[in-house]
Amino acid sequence: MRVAQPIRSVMSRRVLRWGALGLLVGLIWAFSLPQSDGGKVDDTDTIAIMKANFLFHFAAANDWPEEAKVGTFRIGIVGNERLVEELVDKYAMKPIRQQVLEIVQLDKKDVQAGPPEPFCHVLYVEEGQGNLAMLSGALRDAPTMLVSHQPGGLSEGALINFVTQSNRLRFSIDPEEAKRRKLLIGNKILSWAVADE
Amino acid sequence: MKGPLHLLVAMMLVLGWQADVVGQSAVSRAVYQWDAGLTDRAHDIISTAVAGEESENPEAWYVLGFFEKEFYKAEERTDPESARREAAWRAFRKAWALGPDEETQRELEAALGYIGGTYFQDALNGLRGFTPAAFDGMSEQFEVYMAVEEMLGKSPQALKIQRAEWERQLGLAFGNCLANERVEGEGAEQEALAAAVGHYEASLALEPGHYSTLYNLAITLYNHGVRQLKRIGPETSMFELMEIQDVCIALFEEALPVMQAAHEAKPERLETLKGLMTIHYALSQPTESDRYKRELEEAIRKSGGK
Repeated sequence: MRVAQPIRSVMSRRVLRWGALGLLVGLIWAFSLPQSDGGKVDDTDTIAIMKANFLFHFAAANDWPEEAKVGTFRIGIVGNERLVEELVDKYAMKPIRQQVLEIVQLDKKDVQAGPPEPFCHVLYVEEGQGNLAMLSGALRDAPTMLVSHQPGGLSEGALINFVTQSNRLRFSIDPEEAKRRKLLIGNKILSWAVADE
Repeated sequence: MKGPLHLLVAMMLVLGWQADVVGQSAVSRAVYQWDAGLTDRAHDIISTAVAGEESENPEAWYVLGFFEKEFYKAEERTDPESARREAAWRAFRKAWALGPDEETQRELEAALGYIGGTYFQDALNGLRGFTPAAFDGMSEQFEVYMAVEEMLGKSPQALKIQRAEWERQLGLAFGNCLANERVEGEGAEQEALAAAVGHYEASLALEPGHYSTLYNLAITLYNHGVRQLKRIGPETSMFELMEIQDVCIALFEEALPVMQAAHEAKPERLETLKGLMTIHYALSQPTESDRYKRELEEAIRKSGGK
């Protein structure tokens, strides 16, 4: 039982074409799929994103004495450009109660001799960028919330210190320092604070 | 008188043709009709035959598959869900199972190669511009291609490598959907992430320690965490911040050993050093992050800054 010749000859020609196609498929397999790696690591500063949001909450969920509730509300950042960028990008000009939020980028030199000018409601000092004990002393009873991220930050004079627990960014508070500066720490902030290490 | 004469001649010709055709097999008759350009008639003859007296004839099934394939090429070539191609594949499979003779076998192999190639090409087309909705269709196409490859005698090892590559590509496709925000809504994102991770893991099960799969899996996990963090803003409550942080840290922790394994597979690659530096940093592990940063700087220095 054989297929008649005409279609056989047509088919034979196609065999060659199909054979060539099979080879082509192999080549497609080898070269058409992406051989390089799909992506690159996103080098966004994840810690800066979290810190910025924490600092915004510190500004918004705590209360300052009446004399500090005029003009703009300033968060000063010493020595962390990416944190400044994140704050400026997402939070600048947002209202803190009746005040408009201003982000102030500061340098190590700006806090070398004492607190920066103009007055900052929140002053974050990156580790190694300022002398916390000196700053805390120079601020005296001024209503500035001094925030740090370094071991022993609270004992050096910071009111809030960022700490790491189980790979997560958390914060500790010194309530006595808050009282001294006449700052009222909000319940939400207090409830998330962890013990000083 | 001319009219009846013409009728008589015509009848004789028809009878002569019938006499020629009668006694031939359905296969031969179908092929004859096909070669005469009567393709629908040829298809009817062979379809009827395989449904009846030729149901166990591999050559008949092959011819049916050939016709279906030709219809596919003529009418449905751009349709990835072509019913004609599906019919051709069914017929060729049946022909194969019935054990064709050597010549038919040879032609069947070539025909299967063609059909498998078209399924593979459609599966590849699905990968380009991939959307999760296209997944089922392209998976079916790939499975047909693999079935053809197996029938044509590809070694189990070669098939394994191809499947591992396919799974890796699917992982990449789902990962790219996430990266390019082509999925909307938290539920859809979670499904896409689970799919990406699942395909990468399936690929790794076939090819353990494959550098690129490990690296891309780590990237998918880490970058998805970063995407969540980037959504944090003034409207994010403290509670939400803590929740998001927990989710992200879990992803970063999952990504870290995978990136580490990729680094061990190819310690000279700069991107894994950067990956490890970045993940450790995100996990608030500055000492480890700085160690990989120094290694990266050293590697870049040794490579002449390239």
